[in-house]
Amino acid sequence: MTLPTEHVRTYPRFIWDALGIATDGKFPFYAWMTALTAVFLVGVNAWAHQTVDGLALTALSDHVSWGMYIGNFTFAVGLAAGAVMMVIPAYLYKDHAMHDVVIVGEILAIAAIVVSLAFVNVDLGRIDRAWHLMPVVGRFHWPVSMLTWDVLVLGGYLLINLHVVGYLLYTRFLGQTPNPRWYVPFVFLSIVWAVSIHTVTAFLYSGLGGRPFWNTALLAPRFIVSAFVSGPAFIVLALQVVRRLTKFHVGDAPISTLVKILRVTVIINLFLVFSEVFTEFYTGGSHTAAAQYLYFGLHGHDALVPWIWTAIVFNITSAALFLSSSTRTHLWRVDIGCGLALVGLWIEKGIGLIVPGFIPSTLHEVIEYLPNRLEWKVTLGIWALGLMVFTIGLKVAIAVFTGRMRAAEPPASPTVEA
Amino acid sequence: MIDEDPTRRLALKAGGATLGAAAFARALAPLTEWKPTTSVDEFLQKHYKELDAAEMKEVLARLEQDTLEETGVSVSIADPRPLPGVRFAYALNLSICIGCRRCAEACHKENNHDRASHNSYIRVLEMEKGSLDLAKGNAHYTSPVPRKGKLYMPVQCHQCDNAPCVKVCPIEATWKEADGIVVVDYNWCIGCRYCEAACPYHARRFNWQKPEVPAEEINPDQAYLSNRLRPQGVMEKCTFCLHRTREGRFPACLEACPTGARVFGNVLDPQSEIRWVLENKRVFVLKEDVGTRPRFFYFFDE
Amino acid sequence: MVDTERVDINGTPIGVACGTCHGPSPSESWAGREGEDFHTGLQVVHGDLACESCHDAVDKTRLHLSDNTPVDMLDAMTLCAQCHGTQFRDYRRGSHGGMSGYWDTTRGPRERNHCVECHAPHAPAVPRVSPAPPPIDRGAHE
Repeated sequence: MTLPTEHVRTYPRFIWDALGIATDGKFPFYAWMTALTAVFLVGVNAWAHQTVDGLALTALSDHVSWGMYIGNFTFAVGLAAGAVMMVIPAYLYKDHAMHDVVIVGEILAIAAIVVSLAFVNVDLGRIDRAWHLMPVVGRFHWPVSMLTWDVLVLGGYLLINLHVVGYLLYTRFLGQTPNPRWYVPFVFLSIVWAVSIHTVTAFLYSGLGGRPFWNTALLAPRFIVSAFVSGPAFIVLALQVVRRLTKFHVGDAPISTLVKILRVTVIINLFLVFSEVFTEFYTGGSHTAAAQYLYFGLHGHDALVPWIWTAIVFNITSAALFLSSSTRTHLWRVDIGCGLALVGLWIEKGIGLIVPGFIPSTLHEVIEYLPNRLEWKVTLGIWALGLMVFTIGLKVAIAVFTGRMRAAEPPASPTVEA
Repeated sequence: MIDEDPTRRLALKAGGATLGAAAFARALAPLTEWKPTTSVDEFLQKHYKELDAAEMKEVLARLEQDTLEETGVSVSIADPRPLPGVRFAYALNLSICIGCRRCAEACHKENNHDRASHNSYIRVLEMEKGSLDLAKGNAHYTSPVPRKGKLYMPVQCHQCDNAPCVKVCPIEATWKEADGIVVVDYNWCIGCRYCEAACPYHARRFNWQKPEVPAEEINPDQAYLSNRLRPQGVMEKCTFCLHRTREGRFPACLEACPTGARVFGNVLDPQSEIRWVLENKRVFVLKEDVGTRPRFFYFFDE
Repeated sequence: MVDTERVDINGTPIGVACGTCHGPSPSESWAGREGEDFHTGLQVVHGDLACESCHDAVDKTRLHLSDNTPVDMLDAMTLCAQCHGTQFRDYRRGSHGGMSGYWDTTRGPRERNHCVECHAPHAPAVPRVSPAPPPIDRGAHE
């Protein structure tokens, strides 16, 4: 065991080396990070304008008061929760091949939480007053307000994953075996917590009696299931990229396991959508006007119709691709399926869920909403930030796992190589 | 490490980082014009319920001073508290409302609403006689009123006893007072708009930008929780004109109503008009099944 | 006063009080003129009421209840209330007829409208008005 005083020396070294790795690479890496930085800065600038001149610069209104930002927030929380689909096989079912790559899922969780927190913050009218949310110093309306639960669970999930990833990378960096007592309980906690973050986010919407489109017990299950599609879909694509571009060994088994999971979750997701659609359209009446608006338009207003049908087609196609593909021979089909699933769910859970909740309004008026250019800039900027966090996280993790990043001097006491 | 010349690499990285930092600063440049708060005092101001009398006095003086500096108008901002033994209720006579929208106009002026957006807390719906289906309502009618076969239904905040907006606010920036009015502390609200999503009656308004009222049109009789000039990025709503009603006066919408379709008062007073209406007319509320228990009632004479 | 649509030498409109013709000593100069012609613009759209339903047969400046109890012109509300009992009850109870001032009359006064301020006695139906402008909605494009 390293003496505690050693960490004063080795931890800053760890951070410094990580910074070095994060800024080191070949041309494709620099091109990728520069492009992301450019998009991020465009988003920052757009957000700065929005902060000064108000959310009037967006396309939001008193009729549709949540839109692109909260839609993306919802999708990003789902991505973060979906990472748990790697953790369960790796730790609960001792899938060793998955265990080797599970860190990708945990880093995705961190990046996705950063993205979701960013989206919620850019949507605030007064971000300068964010301290009002802090317990004790502010006025935290817990447990009544679901938003306070969301603050707790999202913050907690971020801290859990930062700890697990940080601990694993740091101990490996020191050339030591990680002590299970310091991370396994947190991993198990993160499994439950992942479900909680997305359940709480669903409860934000499903508890509102004045919004019949959201006021359904089916919302939380739909959220969880679609999270378990989007998370693995993203990770499959990420693992493929890691396999091709880095020295990190990614076996066939983890990807195969994830595809097996996807085959099930994508079908359940389609079934839940079908259940929702049937209930809405068979019942009819004014409480189902929002579904009318979304799928077929209402009184000539049909801005979202092309979006939702694209999502439906993408989701069905991705299901077909997952079910019909062999991961050994036709993995490229799975890749396309993952991409389609991600876009389809981004639409369905993002603006395909938030906006129809407001149309028609509570006084049954139809005022439409589609995000404007400023909202696109801020949105893409935040996703660029998320991708940067993900890239850097992966790069550092891979450097540590492949032995490229190691503490220069071994610590004072004898160690056993992991 | 892999590299040939670590010093050169480091120098390049330092150069890149500087460029990046400069670009970041440039991206954030618009923020230099951002003046959300005028002082440290305003930034640190506590929640309304935590301000003692002396602190409240300071806050009011500071707000009056801010208004004077920004608009040149000397206003008086009071903090009237709920009257003891009073619970307000409001009733609207759908048989005699003619849909003239003078209530909405009066609200617009009384509450110092943004002029450009012609904001008002009241929205009047022209509905079909024989149906209370809001989907058949139209808020944008312009032809002379009252039209045959139509009835007119003004909608504003119902100050619900079981208000969803109060439930969902993460920081208790909105709450129900002892006399029944649901208020907003404009200096505490962070503008998350969860309350706007939760309200079933389209009663809440958000300041998408800084509201502007020409100096000569500013109503100088203001209150902290009602019609003072609101900042950008915060929620607001009808307060039953508490700056008037907590002094025993009628809300502006009622005084503007030419037909007397609006009835307002203290429901705890057995002699009050509102009490008589609630006991003798067939009153109903909107969306009763949502369980909000509004304090705003509708009735017909026949 | 009825407007005769004539003006005197100074340009002031000439009006005639009801009592000039319908008073105790009707004026000679107007006697014999057609009642309809003279009451220019005076529409009576008030159910099936005749003039004498409310006005005294001889002195049209005075009103009377159905049992001939005289009613002063300023107290005309009691006459309206005679037939429109429900509306008058609603008026007394505060759910009909505009008002301004204080809901808490222990703190201040309250002003009530007189019936005729909205309901012209000869054509009481409230006329149509142009409504104040409709709301401007952010996000509405039509």
